[in-house]
Amino acid sequence: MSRIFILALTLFFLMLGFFFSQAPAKEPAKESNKKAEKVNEGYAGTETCQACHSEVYEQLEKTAMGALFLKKPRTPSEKLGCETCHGPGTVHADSGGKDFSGMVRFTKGASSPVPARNDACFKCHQKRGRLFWAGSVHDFKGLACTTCHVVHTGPGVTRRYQLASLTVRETCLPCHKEQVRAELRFSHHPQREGKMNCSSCHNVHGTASPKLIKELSNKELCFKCHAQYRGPFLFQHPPVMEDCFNCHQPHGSAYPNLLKSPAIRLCRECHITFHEINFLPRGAKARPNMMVGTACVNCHRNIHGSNNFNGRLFFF
Amino acid sequence: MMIKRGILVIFFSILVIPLTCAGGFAELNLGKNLELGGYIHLGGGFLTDAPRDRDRGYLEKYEEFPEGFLARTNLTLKSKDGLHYYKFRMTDPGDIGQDYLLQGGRVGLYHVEFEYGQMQNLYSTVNPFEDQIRILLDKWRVAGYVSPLPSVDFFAENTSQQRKGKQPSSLFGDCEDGAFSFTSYLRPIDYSQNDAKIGAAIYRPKFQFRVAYHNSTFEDNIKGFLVRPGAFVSLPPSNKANYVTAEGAVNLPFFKTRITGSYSWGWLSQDDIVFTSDGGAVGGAGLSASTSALDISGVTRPWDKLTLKFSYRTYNFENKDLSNIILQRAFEGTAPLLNLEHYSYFRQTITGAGSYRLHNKVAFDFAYTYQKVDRTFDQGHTSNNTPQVGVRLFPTSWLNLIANYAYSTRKGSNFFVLERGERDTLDLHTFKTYTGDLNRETFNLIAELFPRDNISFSFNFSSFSDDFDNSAFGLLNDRGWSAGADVSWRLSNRVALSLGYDHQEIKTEVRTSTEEISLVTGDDGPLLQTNDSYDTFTAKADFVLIPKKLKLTTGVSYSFSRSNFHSTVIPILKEQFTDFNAFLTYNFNEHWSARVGYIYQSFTVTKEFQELFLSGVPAEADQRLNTLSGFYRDSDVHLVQTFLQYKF
Repeated sequence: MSRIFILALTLFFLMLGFFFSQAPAKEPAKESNKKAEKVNEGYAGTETCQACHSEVYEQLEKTAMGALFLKKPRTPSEKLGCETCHGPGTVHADSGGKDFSGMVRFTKGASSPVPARNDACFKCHQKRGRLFWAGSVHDFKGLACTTCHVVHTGPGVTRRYQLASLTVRETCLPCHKEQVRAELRFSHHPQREGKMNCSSCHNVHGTASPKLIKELSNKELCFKCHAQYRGPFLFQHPPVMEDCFNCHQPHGSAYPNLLKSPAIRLCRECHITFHEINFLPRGAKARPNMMVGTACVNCHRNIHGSNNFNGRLFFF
Repeated sequence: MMIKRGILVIFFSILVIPLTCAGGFAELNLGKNLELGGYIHLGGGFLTDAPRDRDRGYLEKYEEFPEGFLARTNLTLKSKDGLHYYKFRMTDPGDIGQDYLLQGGRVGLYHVEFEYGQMQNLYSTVNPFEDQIRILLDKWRVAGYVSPLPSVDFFAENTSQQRKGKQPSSLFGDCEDGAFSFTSYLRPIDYSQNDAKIGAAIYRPKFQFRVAYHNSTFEDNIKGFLVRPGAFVSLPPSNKANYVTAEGAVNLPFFKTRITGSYSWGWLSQDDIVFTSDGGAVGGAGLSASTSALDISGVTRPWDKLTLKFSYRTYNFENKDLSNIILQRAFEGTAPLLNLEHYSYFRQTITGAGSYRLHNKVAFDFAYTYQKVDRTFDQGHTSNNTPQVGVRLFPTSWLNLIANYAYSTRKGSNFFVLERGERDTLDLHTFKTYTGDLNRETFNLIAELFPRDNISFSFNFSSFSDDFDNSAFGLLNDRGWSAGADVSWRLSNRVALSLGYDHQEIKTEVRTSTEEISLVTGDDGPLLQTNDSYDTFTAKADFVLIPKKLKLTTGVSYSFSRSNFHSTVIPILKEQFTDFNAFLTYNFNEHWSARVGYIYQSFTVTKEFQELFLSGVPAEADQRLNTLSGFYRDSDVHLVQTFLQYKF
């Protein structure tokens, strides 16, 4: 059934793609052109910018945004080209490049405040995953969009997402070293193998959920790949029902299965009176092997929840 | 399987088509309006000492070493105006770990992408009979959007995941000398998961609105497994989840105010067959639950220097199973037990925060969060107060200092299921760590220095302290700190270096009791201490040996962890992982280059740990026991790779 759905969806998108690639881009209405002319006061025009910044212009041309602004603008704002983001440049051009008044600059150390820089981006990029940027932790910490992204210079300019560093990992590392380097630990998600990265779980542009996670809560986030633990189960384990991170450390751990602490100690954080400390059977010799491996889970195997009628203690 | 092969053929055809059109390559003009870009890397790799599968161990946890013929491509076909694009990326075709991505679209109008990837989850390599105990994961994804107008989006995404293989598992009992013993077995795995999302959005300068529907299904194609007579283990039940989400934002005309809101409602259901431990079918489970989440936030900037934020968020999880007949039977009508596991909870979080920028050199952050969790059936209520402050200093153009501190207090009720000594027939002596009283302090500091344009230093320090006040048992405290330093130095246009080191310490104390009261050490029971330490070192060095001709890139990562359990029985656990790689690239001309690489990886783990695990186990059980998860052989791998590369 799911395969049929995939094929149907694929066909649907191919048809849409074919349809829209045949249709000419909608030209801005005449009224919009009038508006644009009015707006254009103080704007020097892309050709003026290109005259002095030809190298930057060539780089911008190679990006998706450049293609849209410079070759097929859809709106009066996009028609302004470089000045869509940088603001009116006539004063700057007339001063021989010395006066930046009225302009937004993105280079390090430039006087334009971060909110003004970001406003330039959010004129268009408030869509999709960026709906919750305002007030998000990165917004509050004063991060500019250009802290992580490049628009027309830098190593990642022609790469996906135009990151300032070559990878998502390297982009997040300067501020989140502990989390990023935890991927080198014994138990880890496949980040260092390149199968996942920080943005697999986090939306760095802001979410309605805490910690910038992409789903409603930590549980729903984990169920994206581990739906076998979603339940509801006949016998439920309350900490599992509330938050996977009660027991797991998602960024990397010294212990198997990304556990926060060794299994033998982890269970005892809550279960204070069960079994002997060395798993001494009543009247028998010590069984230290019960303390390692998955410890308590050696026996209570279905610890995430059991659907067995006799699964009360998560044995079956 | 046939479908998979078919899709692989399609992917390869897609790869070949642009190549055949290409003819003479080089920033290719395919007809009047198209150009081809990207790269193709073709080559091979081999392991110098060709270790057996089981000896590669942990290093192949998620993918095999790339050996034999290797191909990596990243091709882009674009229209001359840059508006239409078509991209194809491929990594290691035919290997476990292969990835394919095909994208196409028109900038600003539509985008569609297909993705296929594979990986393994290797659980153990120490079993004498099974070389590799693993699950293979195949993942398919198709996604795209259409923007018929710049302000309107329709989007859809479907992800299918298929997991097949064997997973180490175990079951209690099966030893002659009494209780608390277990036997190992390999659990067959055949999971299918499908997630489909569809939605629409409208974006206007003053408001944005989005609705989406998400359907998720999980199918376990093996319902259960008979380990031995009378021990039928139920595998994870097939289940479904549906979510509807509406979210939006409004930009108000005063003080740059933005109000955002999000509401999501989900319905979970599970009707898989319930078996008994004898393998008898009881009937369909018929269980269900619902979730809902609401978030309302407002951000305002009364003036440029001040940003204020307020948010209210709720998350509600509601079990709907209390009248379920099978559930009633399974719990033998014992309401306290049923309530213990099938309760509902409602989490509310209120946050007020502000950020004040004194001037370009100093900014202050402050926030206060109040969270309350209410659980039904007296399963505990918790309230949490968290004030936090932060400062960002930029005193000079070459120094940034960012620090923040938070102090959190959590007050809980009913977090002891039963008081110590209050033993009864339910035998539930549980302290709910996650709802108990807690004082938490966290501190973070990052200092960045840029003494010259080509050098940067950074130092980081963080600490945390969790104290479970009012807890005589269970987790008492959890404290730790980490510190690190990084330096990046571009010595010249030909040499760039970077080094990084981090150290982390964590100390945990758990006070336990025992079932046999007479064996308790002292009045308070034994104190279990665990000390973990982690050392991580990374370095990178890039050298341009001959400008535009010969380049050497090297990198090393080293991680060492040490866990001390302060136990006479459990040894100290040490784990080490090292990765070193060096690649020499020679450019013949603008397009052609050759690349030779050497990769070394090493993993070691305390062997006494595994020996301990096998101790006291009947000889005939040994070979089965060591199938358990997380046991790998120490491994050293030397890998050589060569590539011929073409860049368009």
